[in-house]
Amino acid sequence: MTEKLILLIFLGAVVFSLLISVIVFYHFKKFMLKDDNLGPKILKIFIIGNITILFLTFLSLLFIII
Amino acid sequence: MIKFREKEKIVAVKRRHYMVFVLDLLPVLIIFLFLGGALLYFLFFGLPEQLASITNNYFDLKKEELVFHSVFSFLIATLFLWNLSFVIITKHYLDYWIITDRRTIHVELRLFFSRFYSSIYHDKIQDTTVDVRGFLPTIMNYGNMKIQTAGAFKKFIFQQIPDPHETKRILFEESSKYSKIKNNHE
Repeated sequence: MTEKLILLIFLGAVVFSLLISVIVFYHFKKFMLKDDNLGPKILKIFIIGNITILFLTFLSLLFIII
Repeated sequence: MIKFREKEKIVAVKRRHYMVFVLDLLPVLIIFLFLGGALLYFLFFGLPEQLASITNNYFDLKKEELVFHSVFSFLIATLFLWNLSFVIITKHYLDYWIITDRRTIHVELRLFFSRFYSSIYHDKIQDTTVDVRGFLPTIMNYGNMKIQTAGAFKKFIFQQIPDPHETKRILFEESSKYSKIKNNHE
């Protein structure tokens, strides 16, 4: 029961994170100024952070399940 | 993306001062530090008896298992806060004012998928005022700059921009140049 709930929470978090990433990417790509150097760097930090946190969450999920 | 007129040159791009951005992110940072502190406490001293017994009533977990669950909960909360921070950053970064050699453009991200866009030609500017109010704006040198225009869109406000006096000077310079060019053409 607990494992199922935790798995569901994790899947919800992944979907939420994907949704926000798509929205942020869409707005940056569409409304960023030409020759903007900082915008792509911000996006890179956002994606690297998101992947790292998701990976760590997945690891902690494995610890709980196994 | 904004479409500029032919041969239109960007003179300055202004965004809100970084202090405004830091103040917007502060609640997120405080929540993160609070959660991080709570997690460290759980890791070093274990879950408080009362909390452990409450959780056990619902999930029937051992004390050691609860620590893993605390780490998982902390990471889920961190993911949420991380995404929230970038929603704030996106809002902050995609609100800007552009001064070109012909006009001033304001682009604002009100909500996601909702944008406000307006521009005024420099010959329509009647008056500009700078408003630096409060302790932080004074020492960090940021504030509002209001442009009074002759058109239907009466006021144009640069909100909490860094160095508003310098921006006013740039705008004044550009509007004088533009007015001269326009008068020569007429």
